Amino acid sequence: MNAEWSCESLFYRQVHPTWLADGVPSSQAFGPTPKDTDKLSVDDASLVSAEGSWRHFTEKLGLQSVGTWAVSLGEVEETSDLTVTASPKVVAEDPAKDNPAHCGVDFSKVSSKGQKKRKAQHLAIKATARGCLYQSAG
Amino acid sequence: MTQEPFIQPRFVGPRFEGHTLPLSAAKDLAAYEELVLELARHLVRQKHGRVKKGFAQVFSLHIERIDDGSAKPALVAMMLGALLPDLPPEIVEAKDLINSVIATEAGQTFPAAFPKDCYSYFNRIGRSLEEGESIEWLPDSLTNKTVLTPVKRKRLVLAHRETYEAEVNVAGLVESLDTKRRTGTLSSLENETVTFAFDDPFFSDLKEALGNRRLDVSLKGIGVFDVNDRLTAITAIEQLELLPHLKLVGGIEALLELEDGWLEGGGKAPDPERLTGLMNEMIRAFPADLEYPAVVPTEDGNVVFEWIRSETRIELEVNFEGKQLELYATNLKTNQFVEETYPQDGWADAFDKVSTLLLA
Repeated sequence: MNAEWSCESLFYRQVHPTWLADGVPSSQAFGPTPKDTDKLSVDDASLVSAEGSWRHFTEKLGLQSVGTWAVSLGEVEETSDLTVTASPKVVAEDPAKDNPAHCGVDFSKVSSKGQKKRKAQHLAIKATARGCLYQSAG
Repeated sequence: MTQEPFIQPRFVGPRFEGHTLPLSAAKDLAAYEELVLELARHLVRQKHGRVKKGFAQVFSLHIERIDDGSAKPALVAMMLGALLPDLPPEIVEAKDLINSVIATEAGQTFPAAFPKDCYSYFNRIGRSLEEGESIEWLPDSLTNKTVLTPVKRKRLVLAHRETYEAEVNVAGLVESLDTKRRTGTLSSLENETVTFAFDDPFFSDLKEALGNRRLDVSLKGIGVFDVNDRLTAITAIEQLELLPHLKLVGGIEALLELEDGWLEGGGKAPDPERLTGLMNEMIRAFPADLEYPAVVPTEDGNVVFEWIRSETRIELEVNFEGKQLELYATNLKTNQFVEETYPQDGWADAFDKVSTLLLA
């Protein structure tokens, strides 16, 4: 938790194309997957724009995303047991992949699959209500 | 009857590598024969003012054999009886003129001697070609093999028309049928309205699908496209397939494309056999009155059906390994969360629960 963050602070989330249905992200996009080790990757919106977040993800990291959605710190915390931690990425062998805005929404205190689903659905509803903040042209 | 070699085009593409020719390609050659004759008649008229009676009846093109080298059908000109013992020069001129037209590249001027009306023949000549396929009309030429591709065929037709014809396979909802005129309208999956004409054998299936949002149809036939490649009509249906629950089944089918590593290098692809089984199960078991969910994969190779509302998310995860259906539903309006599991064949109970939750 960064001291400069407030409840309104936004965190960007990139959405994989297979997790978009009729322009709306699936709840899958807001839950940590096994490879995430319970940390959902997001970017601190005070350090990068929605477009910049998408460009880093797709162009620098070479990953797939249809656009940038966001959840606020307040929305994360109201689900209880979730916290956001700053975790800047430093890639020694390829500094272009460094990401000082990188953060993780920590699901590690949530033990059951059902409760993780519940929190992911909560975040998906909130992010969908806010709308897509940057959409790829393709 | 006399015969002499006429032309030996080469069909290029994976479909022709077995040195056989699909029957649909034979239709292209039949249309080519019609164009040769029509153009020859035109050339005779220009020279002599009239065409001798029986000119068309004594000449025809036959496929003598199909040679190797992709598929190379050898066309011979057949002259019937003694009326025309030799191939009329206008027939040969017509062949050469057609070759000149096909050889014309984008930005070049078409041969002035080729009549405007004859460009419409390219609606049928080469219509069987799929993307990446072509016909080399002079395959042994060192300077210009006179290649007809789907793109060039379209350009030839559009040289003097605003629409062109091509094979089409489109799916959607049958919106209306006119039984007297044997026509109807289809609302495609892209929400475009397309008119179609149909023959009697298709009427029964079209009637069954009429207005049924749970029973789409797939129409394969001849489509009319405008210059922007927008499908405007289907002039003939060749195949019709009924597609129950297309939106849902199509969503599952799309997951067959996934390969291991689909999610940022991780992500297990769902097992194709399980997906096929799931499609069949949905055709059998999906309720008629339940709205279709989104279909998404999970990182571990399962499939999730998700119903999305502004304050509600309902996920039904098909857990293949665990052999169960898992329901997770969040409603922020009522602040309720529901978590239930069902046996893998418990579709009816699971869908009942989803229906109830959607009403909340």
